[in-house]
Amino acid sequence: MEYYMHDIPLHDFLPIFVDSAMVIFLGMMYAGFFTLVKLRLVKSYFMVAAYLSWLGLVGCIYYLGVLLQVEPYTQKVLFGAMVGYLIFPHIVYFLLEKVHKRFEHA
Amino acid sequence: MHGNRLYEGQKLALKYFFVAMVLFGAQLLFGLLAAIQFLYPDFLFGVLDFSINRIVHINALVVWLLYAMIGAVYWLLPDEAGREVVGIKLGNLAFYVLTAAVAVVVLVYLFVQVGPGKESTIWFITEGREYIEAPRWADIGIVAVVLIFLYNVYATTMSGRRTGILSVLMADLIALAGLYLAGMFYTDNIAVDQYWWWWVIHLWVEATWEVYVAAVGGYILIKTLNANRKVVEMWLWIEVAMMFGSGILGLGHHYFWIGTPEYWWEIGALFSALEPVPLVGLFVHVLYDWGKHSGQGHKIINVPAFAWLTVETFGNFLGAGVWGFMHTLPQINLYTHGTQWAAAHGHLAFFGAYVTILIGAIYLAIQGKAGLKELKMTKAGWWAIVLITAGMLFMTVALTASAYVQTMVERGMYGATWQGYFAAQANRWFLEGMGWRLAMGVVVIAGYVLLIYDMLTCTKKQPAEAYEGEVAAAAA
Repeated sequence: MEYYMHDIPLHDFLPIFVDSAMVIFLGMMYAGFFTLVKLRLVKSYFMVAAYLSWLGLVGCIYYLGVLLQVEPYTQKVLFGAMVGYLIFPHIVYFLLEKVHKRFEHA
Repeated sequence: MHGNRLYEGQKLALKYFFVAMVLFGAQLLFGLLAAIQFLYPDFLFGVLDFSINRIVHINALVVWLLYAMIGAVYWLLPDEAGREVVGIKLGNLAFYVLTAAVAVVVLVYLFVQVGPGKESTIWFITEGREYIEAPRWADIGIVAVVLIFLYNVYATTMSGRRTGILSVLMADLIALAGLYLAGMFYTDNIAVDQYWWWWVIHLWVEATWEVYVAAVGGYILIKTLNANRKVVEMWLWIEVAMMFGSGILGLGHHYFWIGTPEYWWEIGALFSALEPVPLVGLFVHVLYDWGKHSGQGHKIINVPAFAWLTVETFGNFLGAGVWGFMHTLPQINLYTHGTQWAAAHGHLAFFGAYVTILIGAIYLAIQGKAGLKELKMTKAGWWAIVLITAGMLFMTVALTASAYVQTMVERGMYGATWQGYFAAQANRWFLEGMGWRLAMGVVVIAGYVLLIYDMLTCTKKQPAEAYEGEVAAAAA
């Protein structure tokens, strides 16, 4: 595989930094809202906020990919990572619930 | 603790914590001097050079964190294993040997600031590797001390109760100690040398230390929230699996520009991007435990420890996650590598991931030493946490502002030339950022003074009912 890195224009530096920060923030908001709703600490309609955060995350990742001019292979990896991240909190919550039930009713 | 008495291992932990806090103060003091020298390069020039201040600042950080980590393990080890630490006399001897060696190494740094780079320099003065600059004789001594520590952990756990927390720690400490060996030999090729050096630094802070922190954090959750041990331990193993994946291959982001093959760009980019995932897991875990226990009449048994653990969750997320991801992908790292971005990320990540949780562990020991049923937060304790956290956060923002200027001017406009370096260093906005960094350093030091005051006095300011456990135990 051949690797090539494009120059980044000066005016793209700030959007890259801000967009990268947003990726992590929105990722945390998705996991946070998801967990709070599942634990019934907030109303269930906040689940919409969780999935909106995930959609925002996908948008930010896409924009970051455009700004960084990533290769087609990396585009596919980023797409896979977003699908994986959509499922990730479900798996974690499932595991935590199962363990709690197992040991609380043992 | 058994009854109201401390195990000998826990008394040894208190000694480690004491030296850790002294070194923490030294780290802040030398950091402040270095921050002044960024603005006024003539300050103490020829007396205490910037290079030396930086060495002491960084190495004091690493050493005090290691002291506090060893202390935290000695504190929880007898409690978890249900028995006294095996080889406690050896442990005490190792503590005094290590402390004497650290004192000698620092004095040599201060008194031999300039000299030739010969073989004897590596053995007696400094190895010159960032973060692990200790000379080779001290390296060998550190290995001996760590071997004693490992022996104590293994022998105690094997002959006592082997909990999940201790099992994770046993596996992790082997990796933590073994990796130090990678920084003890020299190669003539600087790219190869850097390659091995990163094994120590990166695989410490982003793999073995993270797992260590998860284990100690789990212990604090059990002690402060009565969290379900099985849930904590299950999560620990998930953390281990994820951390060793993202942590080990995430190492690739340090290999981008040191002459290693280009496939590290892809590996480093992918696994660096995955590094925040375990942090998200930790966040969900803390939220889950808090949610499960809120409203069930559970008290927080040690408020200062839990407060610092909460700061850890957000500090780790912001410092390691947000500030890390902002400049880790190779396309942008080409421009940010070696600028103040690394300093901004490093300051908040080290603080968020390690300093906070180890202070929490020390508060747990303070409660145990005083034999208190509960430990409430005092005013001084609150002010300490506010000043240190706000100081570190705004220091990071100030460094980020300088980093942005440096990236634009030095790397973007001038193409990483010497001319660009000096143009960026003299830029007004760069200097403004450095000025605010210095001011925030003063705020952090004020917080540190309050923290020490609180650690020394908080047990005397607790309500009478907090002492019920002590009185009952004494009566029994």
